Amino acid sequence: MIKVVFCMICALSLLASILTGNTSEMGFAVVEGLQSAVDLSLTLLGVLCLWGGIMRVFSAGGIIKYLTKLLKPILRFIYPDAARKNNGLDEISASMTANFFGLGNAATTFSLAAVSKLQENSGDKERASADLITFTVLNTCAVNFIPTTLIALRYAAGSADPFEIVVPVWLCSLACYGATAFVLRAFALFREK
Amino acid sequence: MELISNLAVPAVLLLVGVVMTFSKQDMMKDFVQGAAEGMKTCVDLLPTLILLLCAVSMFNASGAAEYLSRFVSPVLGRLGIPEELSSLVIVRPVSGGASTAVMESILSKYGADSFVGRCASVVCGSSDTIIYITALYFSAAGVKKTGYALPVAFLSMIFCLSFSCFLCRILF
Repeated sequence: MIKVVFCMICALSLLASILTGNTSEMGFAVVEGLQSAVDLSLTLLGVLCLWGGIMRVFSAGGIIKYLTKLLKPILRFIYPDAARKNNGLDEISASMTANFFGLGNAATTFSLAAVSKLQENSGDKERASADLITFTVLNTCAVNFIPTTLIALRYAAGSADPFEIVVPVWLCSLACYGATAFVLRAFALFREK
Repeated sequence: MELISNLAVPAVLLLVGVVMTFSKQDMMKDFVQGAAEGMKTCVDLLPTLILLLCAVSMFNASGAAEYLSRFVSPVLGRLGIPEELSSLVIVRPVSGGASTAVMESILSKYGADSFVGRCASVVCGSSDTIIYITALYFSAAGVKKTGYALPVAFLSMIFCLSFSCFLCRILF
């Protein structure tokens, strides 16, 4: 996917530069891009190391299991099929909690486990079950505790207050998650009829 | 609201310290392991970031970004999204690495604390890469017919975009 995106951006840029006549800045732009990449990576290094460590401590401290228990009642509403068969809610909850804490690798592991459980519940091998669609689409609405990469980007860009957007991000992602969950539940009900 | 945002991270650090002190296990080992994973993530990210930031830099310098804006901004305008975010809007559902690169260029061009910068930040913090996630999960499940998944996912992203800009307008 990235390869396609990269090719498209390069092709469009070359074409546009010829059409607009901005060819002289192109070589310099590449060098500038390189410098930005290195600067950014150095800033990210510190942040990601700190947060990687912190989140790992939390997960070892059992907070994932605790939050998983808290989430289950809400999940019963969003995933009716899994709730009915009592299969997969733990994995879904664990994946949400891991995503919440920015534990990317753990989150992917839990998510894939959840996907296989949801497929077990569904009778159909070819068609995605309502729960599976709900889970997948809700995963595209990221609800994070602290969006560390974003904060690092803001800091690198010289923001006076990199953290000011944390609360808006919470509000926005929760609103988005809630609205989407609702829409998905409505679609699921509609499909059953 | 600013108070919560500012104190969130120091509070988390304190919480970590408390968890580490009062836990029976050896938490330092966990911290180091986690930090090493974080470092690996960063190192893995660098090559992709190099390619993509060069691409984005060229894209901006060539004037293609402005051209793209002209196409997309009428639609964005009606949703309350500033037109400077058009590259981000196109790239966000497709690739995480490209979104980081575009974010970097938006923040350095318009400033992280401008209205545009804040909108871009909230947009980035509240959404994720639709194409990659749906491809991964559906192929892991082995299903071919994905039904209403993609349309709802894109609608959700559009809602997220306009809601974040709306929030930025009333909160800042």
